[in-house]
Amino acid sequence: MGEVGRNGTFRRLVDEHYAQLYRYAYRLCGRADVAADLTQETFARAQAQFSQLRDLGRSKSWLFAILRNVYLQQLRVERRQRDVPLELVDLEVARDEETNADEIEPHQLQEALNELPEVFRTPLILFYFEEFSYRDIADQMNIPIGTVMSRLARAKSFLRKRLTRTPRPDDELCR
Amino acid sequence: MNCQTIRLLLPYLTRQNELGAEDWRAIDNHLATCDTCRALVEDERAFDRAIGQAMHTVTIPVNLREAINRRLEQEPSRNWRFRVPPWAAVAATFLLIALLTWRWYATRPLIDPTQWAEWEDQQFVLTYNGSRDSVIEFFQSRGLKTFVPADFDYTLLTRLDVIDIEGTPVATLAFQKGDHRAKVYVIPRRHFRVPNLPVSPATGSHCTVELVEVSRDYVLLIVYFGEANRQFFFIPGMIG
Repeated sequence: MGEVGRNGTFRRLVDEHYAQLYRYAYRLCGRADVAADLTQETFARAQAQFSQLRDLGRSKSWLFAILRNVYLQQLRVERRQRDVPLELVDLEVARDEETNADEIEPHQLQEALNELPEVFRTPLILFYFEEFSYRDIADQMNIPIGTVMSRLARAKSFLRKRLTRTPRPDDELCR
Repeated sequence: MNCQTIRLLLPYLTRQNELGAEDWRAIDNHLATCDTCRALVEDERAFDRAIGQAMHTVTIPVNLREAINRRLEQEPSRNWRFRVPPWAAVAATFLLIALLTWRWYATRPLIDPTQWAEWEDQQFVLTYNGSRDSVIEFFQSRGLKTFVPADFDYTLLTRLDVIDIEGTPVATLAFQKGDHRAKVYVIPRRHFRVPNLPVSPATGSHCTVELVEVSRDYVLLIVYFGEANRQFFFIPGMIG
C-alpha cells in the first residue's frame, strides 16, 4: 500500500473510532480535557506505528490498547493515581446517592468508576462500553482470561453496591 | 445445574456468546424451573443494561475530529515509517553491516615491516651499547615509569620489552652470558600481591624463578635458564 493509500486508510480509522476512543478515555480518566488529549495522543502514536498493524480487522483493539498505554504512562508521570488497594474495594462503598438499577446517572457512574483501581476499571469499561469479549480484554491487558472474569465480577459487585438502592436478591440460596 | 452454580455464573450470564450452547441449555432448563434464580438473572441483566446505557452517555466534543486531524498533520516527523520504503530499509541494513565490517577490519593491529625494522633497530642499538640510562630512556619512551636495577651488567642485555600482565604494563629485560640466560620482570607492588620475602626460589624443568626485593615499590621476578644465577649477570666487582 502506498503512502496516499495508507494515509487514506488511517483517516478512515480516525473517522470510525475517534468517538469510541474518546468515550473510553473519558470513562478511564473522568475528565473531558484529559480524554481529548488522550484520544489525540493515541492517534498520533497509532499513525507513527501504523505499519506495525498487520490486520486491519484488529484495528479497534489495537487503538484501545494504545490508548490504555498512553493513559497508564500519564498516570505514572503525574503520580496521580488514587486507587484504593484491591482488598479494600468491598469495604469502601459509599451509598450517598443511591438510585434504582434502571436509572443510573452517568455522573454517578463516573464517580464510582473513579474510585475503582485501574485494573478493575479498564475491564469493566471495555466490557460494558465497547463490548469486547473476555478474550479481547485479556489480550489487551495481557492477563489471563480467568483474571478478567474475576475482576469483572468484583467490579460489577462494587458498582452494584455503590450505585443501586436495592441489593441483589441473592441473600439466600433457593435450593 | 443448581442454584449455587447459577450464582457463581451470574456476572457472566449477560453475554450470550461467552458460554457454550451446552451450558446455556443447562442454565435455561434450571431458570425454567427456579423463580429465584430467574429473578436474579433478570436483575443482573437489568443492571447491566443500566450500566451500559450510562456508560455510553458521553458527549463527544464537536471539534474533536478536526483537532485530531490537525494534530496528525502537525506530526509528520513521527510518521517516518510511512515514508521509508522497504528497499531503503534493506539498503540501510547492508550499509550498516558494511560499515561494521570495515570498522572491524580497519581497527585490527597492522603488521607493518617498516615499523618492525625500526623497532628491531632500536632493540639492537639499545642492547649493543647497553647501559642503565638507555634502558630507563627506552621504558620512558614507552610511557612506563619503572624501576631499573643498578647492579646488572647491561652489556649482557639482549632484549627489552613491555608486556601486559592482567592489564598492568610490566617492564621486562633479557640477559645472556655465554649459555646462561635470565629474564627479569620488574613487578610494581601496588598492582600485584607479592608473598612476604624472602622466599625460596621455585624450580621448573628448565628454569628457576626467584623473587628479589629491590625497593618499597618494586620486586624483581628473575627467571634463570639452565645453571644460571643472578651473579652471572651482575657488573663485575659489584657482586655482593
